[in-house]
Amino acid sequence: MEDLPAIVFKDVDICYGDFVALERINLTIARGELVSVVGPNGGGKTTLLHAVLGFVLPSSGSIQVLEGSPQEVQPSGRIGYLPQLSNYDRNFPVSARDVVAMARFAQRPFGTKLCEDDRVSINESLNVVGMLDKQHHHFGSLSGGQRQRILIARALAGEPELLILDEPSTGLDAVAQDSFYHLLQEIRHQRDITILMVSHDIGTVSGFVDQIACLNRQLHYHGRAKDCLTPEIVRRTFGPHMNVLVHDENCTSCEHAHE
Amino acid sequence: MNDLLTMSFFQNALIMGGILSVLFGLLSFFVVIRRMTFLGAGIAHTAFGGVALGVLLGVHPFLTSAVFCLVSALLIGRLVKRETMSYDTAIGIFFALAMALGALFIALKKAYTFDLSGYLFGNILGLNSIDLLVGAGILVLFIPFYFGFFQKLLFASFDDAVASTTGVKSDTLESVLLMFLALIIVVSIKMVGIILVSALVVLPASFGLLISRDYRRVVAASVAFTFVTITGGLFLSYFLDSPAGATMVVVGAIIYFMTMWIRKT
Repeated sequence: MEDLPAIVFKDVDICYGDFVALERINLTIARGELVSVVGPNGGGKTTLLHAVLGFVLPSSGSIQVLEGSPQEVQPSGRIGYLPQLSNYDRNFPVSARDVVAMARFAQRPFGTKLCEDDRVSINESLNVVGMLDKQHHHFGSLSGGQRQRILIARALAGEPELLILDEPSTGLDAVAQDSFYHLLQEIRHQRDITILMVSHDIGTVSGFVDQIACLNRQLHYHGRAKDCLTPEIVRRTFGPHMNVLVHDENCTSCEHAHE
Repeated sequence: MNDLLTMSFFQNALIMGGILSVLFGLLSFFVVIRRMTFLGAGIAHTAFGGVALGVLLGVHPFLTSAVFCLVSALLIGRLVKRETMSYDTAIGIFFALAMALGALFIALKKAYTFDLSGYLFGNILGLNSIDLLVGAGILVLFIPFYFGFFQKLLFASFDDAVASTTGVKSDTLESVLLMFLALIIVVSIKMVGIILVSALVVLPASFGLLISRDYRRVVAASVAFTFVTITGGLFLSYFLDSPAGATMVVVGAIIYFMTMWIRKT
């Protein structure tokens, strides 16, 4: 059971009317891996996440998530999901702790209050993300990085087997991004969770993840993030101007430039 | 004052005011935080078509307006979810269509004698014990739903997609919430009128959000605000000899803007 993959896409096409968003996707993600899907805007990254979550159905092919279909697994709480931070209303009248508690209330029967186990889980989750001291702050008044941590804590409080993140670094400065990716690595090691995220930031993300999948409607590469990612793959995924976007020490396509 | 409190029409109005304070105070919270305030106004206006149909067919206008509001609320919800139409567009269409049907039904009933302005702006003299019973019945149904599902509604309002991945049936909860919105609007029409009822949907929670960022306090403040607005408006309308519904809305708006001004200074 442990060795079965967390996510399997077999020959998956996803179309919206005549528009083909994803084409012939074959992708297998093992349990416990930290994987990032990278690609340009409009390349189908969010569609791929939505397919894993069961929000969109494949036009052809099949998807298995945690040994079930996405529609079966999605409402079970086994998948923790973080949408883009911009989706949240900053005036919403909840504290950071209230947000984390939502994951536990969701699993309580009609009209019941939280029990001691719930409170322990909420405290542990806040502690893992280093936000216990800010738990009573208004959620909307926290910085982007802190709100992102609270949303991670909420996902963890639901005790998921798979964590899905949509562009988690958007709106974070370089320091907050770095610390956020380190947090993901820690969580993966501590809790043995499979983490799948999408990003258009191939330069930073490739230094933190185990595997990278380059997606621009089709999957152009899926494998180790370091060493194997060639400039040709990056150009095929992002287009001919990609060199401008990825100049940093993690970028294998710029090795010659660094030398 | 004692004389006033012994008058049966005023007693009825006070009891109904108490029931509506709780209903609107609680309901307003989710309508405002889900940014569905225009929906309240839209559904209230669709009641006009229902009232006119009731008059045309000789059926109690409460029944026909309840059907109109419920169907409109559910169809608007469905159009937004299934056809990805925006709330503004869907409400705009139903709002105008129901008002147009209302005008047609009234035109068909050649010699109409019903109190049109009473339905549009409210008339507390028209309240009777059946209205109070219906209001109390809706309260008895609404309270368990509201508090039993409060946290799940809160989650779905904050983050619909994530709530659905944890097993929260956000579509079903939203449909039930819309049904209650329609019923509560219909039961309040005699008191405040079709045109003014939207103020009771919008103002209470907007006031609550002015004074707190904690949802518990927002809900409590919302109920207290509605109670002060309705009872204050009723007493004031008696002493000023003014229409009750309009007086309530003016009292509520004054409290809201005064609070906003005090918070800024």
